[in-house]
Amino acid sequence: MSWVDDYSEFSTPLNDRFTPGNAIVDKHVGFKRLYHVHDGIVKCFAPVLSDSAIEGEIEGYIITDNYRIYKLPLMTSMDTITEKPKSRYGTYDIETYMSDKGEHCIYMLGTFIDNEYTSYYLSDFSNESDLVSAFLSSVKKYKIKTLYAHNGGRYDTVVIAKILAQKQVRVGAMPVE
Amino acid sequence: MIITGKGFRVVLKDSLRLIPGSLRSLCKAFDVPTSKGVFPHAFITPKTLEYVGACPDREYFKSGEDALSSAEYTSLPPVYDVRRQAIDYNRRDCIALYEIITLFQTMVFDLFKVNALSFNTIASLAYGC
Repeated sequence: MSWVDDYSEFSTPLNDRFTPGNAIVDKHVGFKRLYHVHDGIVKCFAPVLSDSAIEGEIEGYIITDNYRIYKLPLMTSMDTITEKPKSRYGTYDIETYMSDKGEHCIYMLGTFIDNEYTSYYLSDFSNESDLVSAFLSSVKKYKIKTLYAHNGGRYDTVVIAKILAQKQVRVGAMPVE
Repeated sequence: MIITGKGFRVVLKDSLRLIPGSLRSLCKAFDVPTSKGVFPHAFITPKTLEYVGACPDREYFKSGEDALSSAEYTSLPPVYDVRRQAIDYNRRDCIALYEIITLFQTMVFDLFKVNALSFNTIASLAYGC
């Protein structure tokens, strides 16, 4: 998380009201900045956040005509990094057809890991369960274990999870945050 | 989603939550080398998986509200090999997404010195910058 030193616009009485986890939005015309208490010190949070984005999520109350204090989840500082992060991930995508029962059935799955594309086509397997098993077995050989699919949370993983459930493979959910 | 088994653990993540937008629009927005292809999704049944023949009708290529232009349709191969085209279409999707994520990760690092892929959603990334 980035902080900038910019406390000059605050009056002392307001600072006394801050407790960790509270934040303030400067309502002066021309300013839309979120302030936050960090280690007991009021700091300005950058980059700029719009009021509407904040007001939509949290409950606040008016202190003065110019300021509002909002109750926010306590923010934790994120460590910045100095070196460009390595690309330790791959991608995957499934293709499906609609069965007579109206279910999405996988007929193809492709992965791109370590600059290597691999495809699994249903004609080469006895059923889609075997296709998914071959995909999982193949992923084992790579060090990369994180795969992205676009809209995977509502499509790809749903279809795969259904098959894995039938195979009684253990799957877990990841919190979205 | 996390898949665990004997001696392995695979994490499947959703890039849409981190980089909002359709894959086709993101390919244009990020100007990545690989472009998204076209494919007759509605043509596919268990019986057409190995189809090789005349190019399926243009209506099969319709994706949501997006219809295939006549210019795009005429540029398709006259002899259509479903398996070959499906693999090419899928490969493009996978590689284009990889290129987008890589570019996104680099952009976020350059701007905020944060690893964007440490986060699962654009909202949590915004708080982390």
